[in-house]
Amino acid sequence: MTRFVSIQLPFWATDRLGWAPDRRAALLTKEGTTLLLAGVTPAAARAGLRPGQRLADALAAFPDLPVEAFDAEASALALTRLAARCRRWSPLTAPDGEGALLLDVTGVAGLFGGEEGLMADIAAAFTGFNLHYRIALADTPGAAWAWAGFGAGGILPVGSLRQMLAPLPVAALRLAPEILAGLHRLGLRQIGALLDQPRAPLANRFGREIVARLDTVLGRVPQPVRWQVPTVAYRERTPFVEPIGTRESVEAALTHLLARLIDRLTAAGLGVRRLIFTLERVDGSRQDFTIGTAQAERDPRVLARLFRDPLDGLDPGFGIEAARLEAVETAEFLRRQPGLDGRAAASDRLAPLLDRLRQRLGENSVYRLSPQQSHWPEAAVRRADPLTPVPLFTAIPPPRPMQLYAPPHPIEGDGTGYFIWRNRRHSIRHAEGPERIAPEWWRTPDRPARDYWRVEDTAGGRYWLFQSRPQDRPGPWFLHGVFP
Amino acid sequence: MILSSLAPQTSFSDRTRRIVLEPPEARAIVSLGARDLDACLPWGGLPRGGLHEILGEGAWGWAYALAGRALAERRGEMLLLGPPSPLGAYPPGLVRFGIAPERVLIAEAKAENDRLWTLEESLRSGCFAVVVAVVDSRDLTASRRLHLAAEAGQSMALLLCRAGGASAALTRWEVFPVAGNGNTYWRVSLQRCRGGRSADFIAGWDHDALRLYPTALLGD
Repeated sequence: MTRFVSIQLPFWATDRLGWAPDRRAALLTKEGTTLLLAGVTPAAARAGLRPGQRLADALAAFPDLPVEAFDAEASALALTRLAARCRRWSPLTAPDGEGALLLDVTGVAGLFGGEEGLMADIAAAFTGFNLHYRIALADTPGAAWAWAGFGAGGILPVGSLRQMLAPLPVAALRLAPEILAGLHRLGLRQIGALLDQPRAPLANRFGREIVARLDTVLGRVPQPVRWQVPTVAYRERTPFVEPIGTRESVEAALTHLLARLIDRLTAAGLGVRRLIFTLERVDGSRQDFTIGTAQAERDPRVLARLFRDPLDGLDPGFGIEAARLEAVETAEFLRRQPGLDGRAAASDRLAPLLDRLRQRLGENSVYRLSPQQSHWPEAAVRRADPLTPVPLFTAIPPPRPMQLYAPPHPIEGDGTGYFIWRNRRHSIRHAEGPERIAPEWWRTPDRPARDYWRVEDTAGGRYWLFQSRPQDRPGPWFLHGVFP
Repeated sequence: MILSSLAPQTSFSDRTRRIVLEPPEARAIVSLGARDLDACLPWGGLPRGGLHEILGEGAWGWAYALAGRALAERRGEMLLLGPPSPLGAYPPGLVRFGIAPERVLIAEAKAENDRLWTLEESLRSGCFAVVVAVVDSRDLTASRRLHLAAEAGQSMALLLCRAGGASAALTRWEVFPVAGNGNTYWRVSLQRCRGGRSADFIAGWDHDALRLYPTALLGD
């Protein structure tokens, strides 16, 4: 028989922030344009304020009510952390809605001296957390939730669900508000009355959900629950018998920790994306070294080599008493198959090389140029990640320069036989053009069109010049690129 | 193969015979595209792994031409290495040299030390067929290290530098563009060549056949 514990935290939003329970205050949230109360302290609840009320109504009753904005994400995150703490009593825990926790305690009670002992332990812990709570133990998650929220709380004996839940209001079933309103209109206010009704007309009137909920609460149908997955930290630490200080000993410690960490990652089928190597000094301070890779990496030699440069900044201080290695980011490791002749493919060697280059030169210093769908010369290429393959460039019929200056260099010239660039005069010997390139009118309608010329001067230099033509009138000349 | 039983030299051009009878990886020499130009070099072309230096105003064009020849004969990628102020490499222009832009990787390094370190690591790794790098300073030890790294990784290193000096490069070229009705022409001077003599010629790049061709071989 399965047993579940439901821990309800009716004032979780305000208790989490540490607000004193006898202080009358509330948390706000915005729904559309109205400001509503999202959480209230026990004192405010005693005074009549409820979550879901409008702020205007609350302020009408208590004009000087202290209010703060409600951070739903932080609240949910804190609840998941609390669910992780509850793993003390059960390996399967999960947050249940916005202010409750669910634990699967089937077979666990013996460890705590029976079910009473288990409940006493949970109660003591939550009192120590300074949280308002209501706990209940029952055969199904739904029943435990109902008994904790709407019943007296405590342990429901096995098999007593139907008669214990009967006097509870139907809201304890956690149905949708419109279904609850419908049931109230029909006069079905208690679960017992609902259970006495024939099922088929109920399902017809309110949908299958109400019948399915009754089945799961009473235990006829098991309820699937999404249990929290414990996050595994891939962390290895080694303390030293005596404080160390030399580079060789630090590297030896690194090798040792890498071997242990990679064994664990290999067993899990993962590779490293980011590693932090921390050295703890005898005076309590720390020094961190971080490396990152572009792909999941598992080769200890490659990872140790990536640490070579950062370890140049090693400062042992008065001595290092422990070293710690943590893989903060991991990714699935894809096995790469070597070619038939046994040599690793060139692309295999490229990824570790790029990691080393990016470690030393910076993340954005290595890139490829990827083509863009644009005939405008500057917009035809864009930087891309070096490891992803870029699409093929389609050949452009008119010749383009091998080097492009961004922005184009202004030159002095009037379209006749010379131009002046960088204080040197070039006499034009041969010119081909004009090639008119108009800007993309759907993107930059105000940019003037350009007339491009491929010119060659008497010294042999070949350049790509253009004259901008705003509204088709002659404009200034620029030098945009150099031909080979 | 049936082809070996046919009359050999007269039926096929040298290039076809090389492709058919020798697998690509075994060819250790990159031809410049014309027999007269290949004859200037003692190896009959450029060796696959080694250091070459290029000076002059037409240095970039010549570097791209040699890189285009190297990539034409060998599967591989190209690395462009230079200072961060925009290198200005424009891929649609590289296409005219036969360099497919999706095979080009660009790395920027501000400090000269970083650039030399990157150059050595990339050459030694063997991931690239050609590395074109802008290097300001140079000394004998550094160029010797780079040449050994290029040979170890079987990559062709083309260094664009400013001034001459002692170096362990296989060849040193000085290139100036030359007027030629809009076509691509350079006056190329092979200043030093390990195991060979210097040479002077005017060569052009044929953008369709993707090879160099000599227009005038000047005496040295």
